[in-house]
Amino acid sequence: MWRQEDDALLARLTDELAFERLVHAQMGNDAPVPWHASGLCAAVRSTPGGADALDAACAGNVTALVERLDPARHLNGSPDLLHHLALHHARLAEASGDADAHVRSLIAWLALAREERYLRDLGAAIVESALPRAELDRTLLEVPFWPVDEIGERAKCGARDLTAVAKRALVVLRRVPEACHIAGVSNELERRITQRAESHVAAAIEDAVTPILMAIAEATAQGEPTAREGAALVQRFVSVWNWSGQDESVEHAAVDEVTPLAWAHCRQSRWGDLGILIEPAWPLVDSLTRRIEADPSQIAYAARCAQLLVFKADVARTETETTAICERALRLCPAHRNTRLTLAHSLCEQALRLLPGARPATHQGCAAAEDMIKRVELLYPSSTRLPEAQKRLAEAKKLLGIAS
Amino acid sequence: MSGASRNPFERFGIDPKEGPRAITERLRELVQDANEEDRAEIRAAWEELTLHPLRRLRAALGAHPRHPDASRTLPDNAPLRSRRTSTSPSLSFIDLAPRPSVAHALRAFLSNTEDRSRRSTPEPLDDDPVLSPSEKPKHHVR
Repeated sequence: MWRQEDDALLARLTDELAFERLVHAQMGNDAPVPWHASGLCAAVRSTPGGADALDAACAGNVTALVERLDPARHLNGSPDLLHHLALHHARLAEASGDADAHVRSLIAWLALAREERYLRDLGAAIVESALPRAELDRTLLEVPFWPVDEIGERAKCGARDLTAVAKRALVVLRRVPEACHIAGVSNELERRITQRAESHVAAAIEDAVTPILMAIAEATAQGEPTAREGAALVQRFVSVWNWSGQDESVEHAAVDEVTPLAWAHCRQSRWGDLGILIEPAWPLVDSLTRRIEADPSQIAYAARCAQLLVFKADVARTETETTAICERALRLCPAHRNTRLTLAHSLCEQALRLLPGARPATHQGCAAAEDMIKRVELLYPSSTRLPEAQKRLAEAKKLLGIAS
Repeated sequence: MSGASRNPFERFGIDPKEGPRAITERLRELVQDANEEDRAEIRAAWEELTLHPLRRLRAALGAHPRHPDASRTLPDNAPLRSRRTSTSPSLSFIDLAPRPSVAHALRAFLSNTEDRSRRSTPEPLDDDPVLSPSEKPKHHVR
């Protein structure tokens, strides 16, 4: 006689078969099948079209079943299904390293966190009388933060060694607002979860940067590091920057640390060493400069970036290149003294090359030089090259019969 | 939470909703057959799951909900004929003696009646797919 229990067993075995096909399709044929997770298929069966998708999966075609595993399709579905999806996608992310799977897991967690009754019943069944009701309620309010904290922990654990796992965790943490948005959490909760994710990112990056800061402090305590030693330290910033997804805070740290090292070479006019030192830092300086150019309200690092641009201008090969870099620095920080000084010097040099002594006097050359000198008089009137440039301009005008 | 592969509830096959007493009983069963290394892990899991209710809750959320038919598909729900329980009497000497075949007896009985031509010979009951223990659906061992 066919009993209800036999029906149940048949359903369970069918779900297990479909689940086995799913695991092998998504994680490879060698992947162990976590049989205790086959309830996922039972939960999918209760969704529209779920039974057909499971039949197809049993027959070897999991496409329809995989499509039904997108948590965005089940935001108002059963809590059991969301719970399964959160864990299934997390397992998938762990096995494949796929950040999208991790985000799908987050979406399911955040959607599950809205199911207060499910969580309260589950919590009450599990803690029984071991916790006062009020404390359990407070704990359950933290549930949406738990997966974010776990990812943050993963980022922090691998930060010092710049591991691939930690790098992926940072990518996922940055996608927390996207997950919140899809899961439809309230604006207030989204703000708090995003803030938590950002603090995890900051903590992980700080852990990655700290060894570099210590190495620089140690190197400078033992005396001035050579240009190559300094460049090697700067190169470590670049590694952290790339690992962190080109995070702005790494750019800040690099700018803060490179500037004093660069000054040591600049004061001694060791331009070659200065070039060796700042060369690896250039991608970070350029990136931070572009950020400030895009948002002029970010003035905190404008002057420091401008100074590094001036260092770059100091080691440029041509006056034209020097002027172009200084012009960029001036747009970044119009009041920056060293930028004005260096640009004024460069303009004077270019003006002198256009005037008699360097080449025959021409009306065109004279007019261009006059424009440059007038600009220097505004930019940096005390430039040491200005008096000579003014004198040579007056001589050129006299030669060409131009009234002053 | 997402490290399901390390989740103690899933690893030791415990239903989180059963509470600390059931967790203790299940882990006690496991520890009896475990080697020294496994015992230390089981003890750590026991402490994790029973001494700290919040950790238990966290671990429970990291475990997949049970299959809705899980409780109805335990070995206790198998058909009576094919169920094997620890209370079954052990074999005695008499169980080794050959028994007369019921089918054979029925065949002999039917051959003496006038219904012989209308009835077919029954199949041996040992081959019956329901009654034979060998036909029980294979149970998954986790």
